[in-house]
Amino acid sequence: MTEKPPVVIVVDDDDSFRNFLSRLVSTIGLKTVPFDSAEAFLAAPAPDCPACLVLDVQMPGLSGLDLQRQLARRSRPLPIVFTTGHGDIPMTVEAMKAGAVGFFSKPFRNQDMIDAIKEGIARDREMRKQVEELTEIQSRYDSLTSREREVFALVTEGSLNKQIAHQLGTSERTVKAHRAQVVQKMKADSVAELVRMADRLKIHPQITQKSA
Amino acid sequence: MIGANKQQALSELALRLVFERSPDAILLLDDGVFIDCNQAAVDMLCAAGKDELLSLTPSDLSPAIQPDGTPSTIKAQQMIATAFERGSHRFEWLAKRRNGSEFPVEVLLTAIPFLQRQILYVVWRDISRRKEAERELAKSRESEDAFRAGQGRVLEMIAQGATLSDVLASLVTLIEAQSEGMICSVLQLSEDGKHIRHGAAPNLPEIYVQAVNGAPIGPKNGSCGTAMYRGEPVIVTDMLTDPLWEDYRELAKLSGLRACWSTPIFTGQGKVLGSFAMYYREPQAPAGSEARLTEVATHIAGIAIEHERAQNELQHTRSELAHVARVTTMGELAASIAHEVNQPLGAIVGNADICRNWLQEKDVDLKQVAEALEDISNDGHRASQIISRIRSLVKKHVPEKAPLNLSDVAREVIGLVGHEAQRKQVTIYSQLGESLPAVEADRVQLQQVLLNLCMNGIEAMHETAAYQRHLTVQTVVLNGNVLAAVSDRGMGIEPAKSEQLFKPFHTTKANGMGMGLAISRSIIESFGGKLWAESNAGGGAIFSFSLPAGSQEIQ
Repeated sequence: MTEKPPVVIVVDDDDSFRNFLSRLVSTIGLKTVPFDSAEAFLAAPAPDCPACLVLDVQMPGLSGLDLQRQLARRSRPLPIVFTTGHGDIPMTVEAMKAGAVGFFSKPFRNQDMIDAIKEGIARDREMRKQVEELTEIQSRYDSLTSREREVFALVTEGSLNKQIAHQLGTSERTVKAHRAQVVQKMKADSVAELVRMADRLKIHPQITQKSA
Repeated sequence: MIGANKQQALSELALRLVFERSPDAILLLDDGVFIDCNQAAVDMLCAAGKDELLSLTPSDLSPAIQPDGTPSTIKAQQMIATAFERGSHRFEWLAKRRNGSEFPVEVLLTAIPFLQRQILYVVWRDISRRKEAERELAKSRESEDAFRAGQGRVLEMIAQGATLSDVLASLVTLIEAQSEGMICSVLQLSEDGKHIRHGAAPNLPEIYVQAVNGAPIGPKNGSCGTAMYRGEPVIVTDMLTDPLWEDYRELAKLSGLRACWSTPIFTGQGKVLGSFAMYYREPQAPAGSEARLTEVATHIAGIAIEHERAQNELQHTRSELAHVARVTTMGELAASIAHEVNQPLGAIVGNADICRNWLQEKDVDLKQVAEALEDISNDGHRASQIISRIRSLVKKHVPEKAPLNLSDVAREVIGLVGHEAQRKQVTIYSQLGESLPAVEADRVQLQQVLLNLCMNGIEAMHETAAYQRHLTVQTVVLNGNVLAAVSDRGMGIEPAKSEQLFKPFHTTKANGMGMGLAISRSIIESFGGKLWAESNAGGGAIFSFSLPAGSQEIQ
């Protein structure tokens, strides 16, 4: 699977500053998608490639911090590098606490901005990878039967086949068969890997408490 | 014991003496014709002798018409009738000498018995002198009244704020009108107390006025320079010989001036403000009658100069205060200003950095570099414009009236507070009239007032829900005035307290000085306008000011 080239999304109401950022971004061989307001950015479709958002804190209408709060509610929050003409400490703290990659007062050093953008893209790439993996695991998990899901939960909890059979009121042989199905469907190499997948899917054996 | 005959003879002699020696003309009138007269009558009427007058009628010795318009013949009959009726009658009459010249007389007619009938005993007293004196008195009273009225007018000019040079010129003209051949001038002493400054001298030669303006005062500096230096009057009866004029002799000759009497003008506290001088083209010494003119002139000129200095002082203090208020407002705007300036600076620094990196590469794309440099240059200009906009508000300046378009001023101010509004999440709506008539005011001070009103409006809405934070700036023409209104949706004002807002040091802000509105109002009033506050029907407050519309329209 080849990855699409990453983009830098610039949201700033100042034309000349947007132009500068596009120029800067182009020097590291990346493309820019510019917006002159938070509203315009929100109206556009989300990028389907690794991306980093360079966002002006103070804009007419929705401010940069407002946009950050709205994006945080999305499944894949974009990494944000903030810029501001005149930042104060509370503003910076709020932005960084909410997970901003960087916070730069204009003027800043280009290299610092490039580093932050690169880090943002790396973070997003990682995030995308994780989301993709999770989606994949989720779809594998979705293909399990309900009995297989019960076995999956108990296996990853560390129960032995015998205990599982007892809990589910079935034979150890049947459990073994289910277990083999689970391992195959989940494309796991080992029980350890199954456990990691269960962790990411936040699967917990609920059956045990019910029938015990 | 004196006998009856002797008694009668004495009495007749006495009568004869009274008749003959009386300084008044005495005539006897019988049946409308003079039958006798004394020597005084002959002299008074310039007759050759007594005979010339006898058998003449009163109208023969009078002009055809009396001053009241009645023909002398008719009036004479009326007067005679009255005298017979009452026994005697006294009245004024215009008489005519034999040589034709007319003169006023007071006439006393007394009816006396004579040979079983009544004749008239006529006494004429020449009242030419008295009449002349009366006329003189009336004339001097008239000119005195005119002089007083003139003083009143000059004082009124001062009260109404006429310029000092106009006031002094009127004063000089008034004083000059009181005395023939006199030329006057008022000079001021400079603030440092060392030099002469021109005041008013509408009738002195220009060359003289210019030479005097800026000359130093001193112990031997003409009449005025010396009078101001000594603080006492200096009378020079001949400028061509007086030692005080040694250094200025040529100037005096050139200007055709010979006498100059100068009196210092003092403040109420006795400080010299200037001098008042009377000039003559011939050598002349004061006769004494000029003293009163000098007193009036120095008194009024003193009031005028002191008034002007007090006004200047007030104006200066007011503009200093306005400046402090502007700087304070700019302090409140500091964060916004920093943001606005850093915006282009950020792009400049960044673009410059990129260019430097490009130039270190082997194959430089000069077109790209040129584009970036172009952007740098544009941003540099932008930053400089922002700074000059702010600088014009912060630097000290002397207020100057000029015709202004209020909508333009409003646009400039909205540009200034735009970012501050954005920071405070306030949306500014502008409804600015097109083609407004000009108002006469100082641009910076009007900007200051609007800026203050906008900042107050933004501040007033900090507790208003963000989506309701609307600031509306309007300009309209209304009843011959141009009106500007700034409406907010803040906490509003209690009607009873709307006037308190304009008191100095009244503030609702934690960091406010409480001078903004007081200064704003004094600025608007100094341009003949009004500033007031009222409640906004939709919640919040409206601050408005109106200025008289000029005739000029400014696009």
